[in-house]
Amino acid sequence: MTSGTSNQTTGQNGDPEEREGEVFDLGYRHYDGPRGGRGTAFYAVYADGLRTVLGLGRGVPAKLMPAIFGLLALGPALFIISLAGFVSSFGGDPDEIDLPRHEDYYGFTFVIMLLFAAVVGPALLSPDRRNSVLTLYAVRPLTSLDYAVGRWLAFFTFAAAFTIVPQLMLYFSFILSDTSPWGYFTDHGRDLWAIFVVGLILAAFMTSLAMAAASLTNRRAFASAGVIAFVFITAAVAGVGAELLTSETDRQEYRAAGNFGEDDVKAPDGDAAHFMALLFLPDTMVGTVSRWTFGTRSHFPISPGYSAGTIAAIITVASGIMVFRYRKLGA
Amino acid sequence: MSALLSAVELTKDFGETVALRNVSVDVEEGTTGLLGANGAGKSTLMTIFLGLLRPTSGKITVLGEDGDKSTQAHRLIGYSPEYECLPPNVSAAEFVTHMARVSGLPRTEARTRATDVLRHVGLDEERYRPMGTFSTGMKQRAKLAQAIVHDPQLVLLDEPTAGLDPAGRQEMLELIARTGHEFGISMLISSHLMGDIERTCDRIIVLEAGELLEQGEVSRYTTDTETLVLEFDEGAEAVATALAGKGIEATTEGRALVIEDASQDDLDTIRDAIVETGAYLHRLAPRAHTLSDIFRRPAS
Repeated sequence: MTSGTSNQTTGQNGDPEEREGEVFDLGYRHYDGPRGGRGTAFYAVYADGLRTVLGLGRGVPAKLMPAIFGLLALGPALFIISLAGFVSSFGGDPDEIDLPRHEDYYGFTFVIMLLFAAVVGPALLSPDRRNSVLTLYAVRPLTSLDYAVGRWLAFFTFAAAFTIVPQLMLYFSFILSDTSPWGYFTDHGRDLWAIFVVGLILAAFMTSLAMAAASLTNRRAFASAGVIAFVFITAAVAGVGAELLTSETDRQEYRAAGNFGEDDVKAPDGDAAHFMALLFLPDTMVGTVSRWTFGTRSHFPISPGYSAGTIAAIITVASGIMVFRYRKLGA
Repeated sequence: MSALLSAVELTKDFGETVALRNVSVDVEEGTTGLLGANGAGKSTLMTIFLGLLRPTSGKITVLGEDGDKSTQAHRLIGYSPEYECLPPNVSAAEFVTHMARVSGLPRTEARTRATDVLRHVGLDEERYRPMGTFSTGMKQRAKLAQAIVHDPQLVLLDEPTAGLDPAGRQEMLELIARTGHEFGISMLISSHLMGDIERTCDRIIVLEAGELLEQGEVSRYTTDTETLVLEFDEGAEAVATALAGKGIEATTEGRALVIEDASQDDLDTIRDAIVETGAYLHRLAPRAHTLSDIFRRPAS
């Protein structure tokens, strides 16, 4: 039964050795090669997740979204780099114009990342539930957790690329445009690892939110709305809560400073307002965790550990929701 | 030869509803039909074999492994559920390749086998189209393709002819028969249609209301002499009496007489009896086999 696998056109009058393989006339070959187990299946789910994010094998509209978001994520970096190049080509010093630094970059891309996670992320989980594809996974050699984690990692890969790649582009452009590239590198060595640390945290944060939302509903649109709603509603709660918990004098100083969370804002009498403000996730993530990691801010109204803890808690709870929802496949 | 699938005293209830009651079956190599009306427990039995449902009680073995830990066996099993399970925006080639990889095949093998299998099921031209644009027949074929792409030892097909017109059903059955008999892939096919099973299967398992009614070789049932049905406008009773006198037993069903195992000679006798009694014969025909004929015959 195993010989003649390469011969699919054996005629009726073929020699005896080939005639035994009559089934191959129909183009069917038995498979005797290696069969992977969980590892292969896990990687397949991950790789398919990557293709799903990119829309490969899925028609043109599915390819548009990742392309748009990719450009949006890179856009600010390209703009800053070309601005610096423009200035230096006219003999100016890029350092003299106040170019955005690494820690500012997340301020540009937070909303883009959030939309990317909300719009593209749920495509990895919701449709498989909705179309009952999960049943087909359930009868194959992988566990529910393999599936969920594979999908999570697939999105995380892109999210991390979107947070890290533009920053690296910026970093190397700063090095190259500096009068002393080596000096820049030794001075800003911390930036390099901070880019990776913050990039991975932000990517994990976005991925967990998107995957948790997607695991709760079979409809992509609901999951998308859920991701955005979560960030906006917590922000609203933070805003209202912090406002209520802040005394009148604090409020005046807060307004005078213009920016919430800046160094020169005097800490309120109680810390309650600041704890409340942790729920304003863009600021907690970008303002505090990012600046703390990059070392560009040393004074915080409350320990930045609380901000890092908030982000870590959200990642943990969101991932837990996904794992709980996928504890059993196809049932 | 040990059984590919085996269930011992399997019971599954969903609260009040008992889906399977004390079912013991063996699925051996070859093509096995799982026959039963809707709700007889066919899908429940399949999903328990696949490990998607846990039985309330009883024991199953899947390819020689204890059913509780049959992840290994899953590499050698294919399954096509009765409902739709295909992502509509993905092309058949993409999807079947992916399913081959999830089953453990290396990348290049997965791709070539997906192409081969899609050609085999007749989706050669359409393989790059999103499956959402497929007709019911094409979807059934794509479902079969993903079930056999990894060259499994055993394939479970749940209602593979559901939703097909007679021509499509015929084609699908031929395809299944070819896959089963010529490629040496054992199959368990569920259907509520006797005809489907008769044409494709070597063996049969019959479920009724969650209980095992019968299991055995299909040939055992189909070679039986056929039942003759005589419908009368009037005079059925008289004919029955006359036949009884000639040693032919006829049961009365309303205005019809049913004669089991009528031989060629019996036909002459029956004709004579009708002429003698002057009964008005409306119709005389062999009764098509139905489930109830074969499996509710008092003798068996």
